[in-house]
Amino acid sequence: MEVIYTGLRQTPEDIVEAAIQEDVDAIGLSSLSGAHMTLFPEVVRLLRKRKSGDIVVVGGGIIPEEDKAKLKRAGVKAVFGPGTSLSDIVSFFEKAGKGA
Amino acid sequence: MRDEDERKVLEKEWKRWEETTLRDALASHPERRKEFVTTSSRPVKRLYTPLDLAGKTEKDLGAPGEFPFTRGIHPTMYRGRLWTMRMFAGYGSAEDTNRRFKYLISHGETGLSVAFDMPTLYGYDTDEPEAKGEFGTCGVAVSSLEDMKILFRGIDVAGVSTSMTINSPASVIWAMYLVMAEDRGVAWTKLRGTIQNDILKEYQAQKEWIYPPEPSMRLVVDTFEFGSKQVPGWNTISISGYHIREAGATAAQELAFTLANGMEYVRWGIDRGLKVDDFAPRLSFFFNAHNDLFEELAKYRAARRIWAREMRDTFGAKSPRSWLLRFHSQTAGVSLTAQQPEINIVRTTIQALAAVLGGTQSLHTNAYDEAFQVPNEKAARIALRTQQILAHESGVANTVDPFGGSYFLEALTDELEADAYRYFDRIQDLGGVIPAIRKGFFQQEIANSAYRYQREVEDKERTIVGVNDYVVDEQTDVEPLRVTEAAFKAQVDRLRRLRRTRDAKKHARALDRLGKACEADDNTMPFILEAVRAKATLGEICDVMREVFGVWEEPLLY
Repeated sequence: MEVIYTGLRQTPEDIVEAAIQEDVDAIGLSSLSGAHMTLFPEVVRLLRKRKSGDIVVVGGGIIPEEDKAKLKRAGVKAVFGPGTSLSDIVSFFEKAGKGA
Repeated sequence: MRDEDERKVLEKEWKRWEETTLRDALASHPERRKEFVTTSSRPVKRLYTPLDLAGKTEKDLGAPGEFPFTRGIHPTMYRGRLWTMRMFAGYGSAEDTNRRFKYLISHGETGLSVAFDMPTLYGYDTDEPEAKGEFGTCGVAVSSLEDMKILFRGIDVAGVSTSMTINSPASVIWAMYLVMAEDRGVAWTKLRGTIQNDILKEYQAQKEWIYPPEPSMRLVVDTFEFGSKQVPGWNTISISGYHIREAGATAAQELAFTLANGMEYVRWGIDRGLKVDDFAPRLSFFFNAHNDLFEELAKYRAARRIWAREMRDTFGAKSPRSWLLRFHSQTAGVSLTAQQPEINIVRTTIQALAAVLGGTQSLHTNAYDEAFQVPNEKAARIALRTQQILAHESGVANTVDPFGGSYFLEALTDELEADAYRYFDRIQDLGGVIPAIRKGFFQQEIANSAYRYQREVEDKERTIVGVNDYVVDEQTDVEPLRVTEAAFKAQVDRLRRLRRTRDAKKHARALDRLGKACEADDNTMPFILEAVRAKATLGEICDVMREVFGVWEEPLLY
């Protein structure tokens, strides 16, 4: 498995551009500042717009319960909140990989 | 000779205890674990005895208020004056945060501390594309002098000390504060406060940088130089271990990296041609207060001792004020759990106790809802009340360094000190702090510690109450604090009005002069002040500097 780290402070446009350029299977987003409701759905929207909606988008960080449901409705496949174990994250990607 | 005889007697006596009383006890009641360790995975012995103080004399410890200040920087500590209760606060607009400041002051806090939002920390204005979705979420947005004026409206800036957690754009935000005071007719000599301004730990842990290390260090030294002449009551830096620890470092790493950074700033100040005693008394520190009470206490005490020694003996500081390690502390945000959030009040209490027993000069206590958000009003008040209970009810402020002389604490203080010196050697071998940053040394060390800790939690080698044991299945009940769309719109309107109504010529000239000063070797502070007076925004000023200095790309590590 190859990981491409785009660095901090990326705009949704930057992230989507990098994901398409690198032909990735999944995008992992992290936000601890509370901007997730703006930024995560925007990434999904831009991917769909560029016909790359098959790229799995997951998020992590400090995300309140009520926002989790909204994010999932917006197309974010999984939201890993505080207390998620590393093995849960790994098994999500294993399953997602088999499905693809 | 007599000491040696005494030691032999002691050794014999403790050996007898091990072979009789202890052995019998262990035979009938085995211990719970094979090894006991601190939060930082440091092994802890079953018992500490006078033998652990071997060679230690009263002189190593020192009296409070005297070199090497192990027991505290003041002879009377909290009997004279309690620590400053300084609650870190900021969200939404300047109006929102001004209201929160007044609320906290009305409930007895004794110093102010500003939390800025993400765009401000990265040097962007609220309406820039990079700021999208981030307005006011984790702090207050300050894009211009207008915001700064509103932030401190109705607050006596000559009467209260103000700390501002700002790093890469520190000199710009400080300039806004200074011009705000100037406009009110308050002399800069009357101002007291702190800008965090610690860029080194940004590269190592917190990651809120703009420019590469060398120009960033120059900006920091510009504030040392300017401050020592013009704003003598201001701490122009708060050298911070807090964020290093939050990123997952051990207590020893926090101690070692922070002090190594501190010494790097001193070197840069001296290289500029400043006299060490002119700026060292305004260097301040900021440490984490984590869960492991004794390890934290040992860390603070070791920090004071190392700093005093290095300042006096390595850097030749003559003034005792240059030897003092004065520090702010904040309880460990990283220790707060989203699960059963109310129990965070208990964690915070223990951590705050460590900071107080460790002789902190000021303290922020986290609110129990901070695993989710910037605290709501009630949660912030409970956090402040925690400090007030420690100060007035617990009795721990009645005497100086209450645990001084504890066999365990003194041994741990020595151990942490020795660990720090081992790290200083490794950093030196890598060519110093900045080369070590470029090689990713600190980043890797911290990441390794964070990973080990997380594995220990997941393998249940370490119990975290409510997370991997004593779990309950309940919906968390935290009243959410949301930033309103109206606050965002008002902020953007204010910013656009400012850009429309300011004197365009004056503004352009000030930015042009600032750019030239950055290219030359001039101290940038007077030029930043001029730009702020000409109503240049934070983003505009930082853009001028980005143009000249470039931006930092972090070395990648896996």
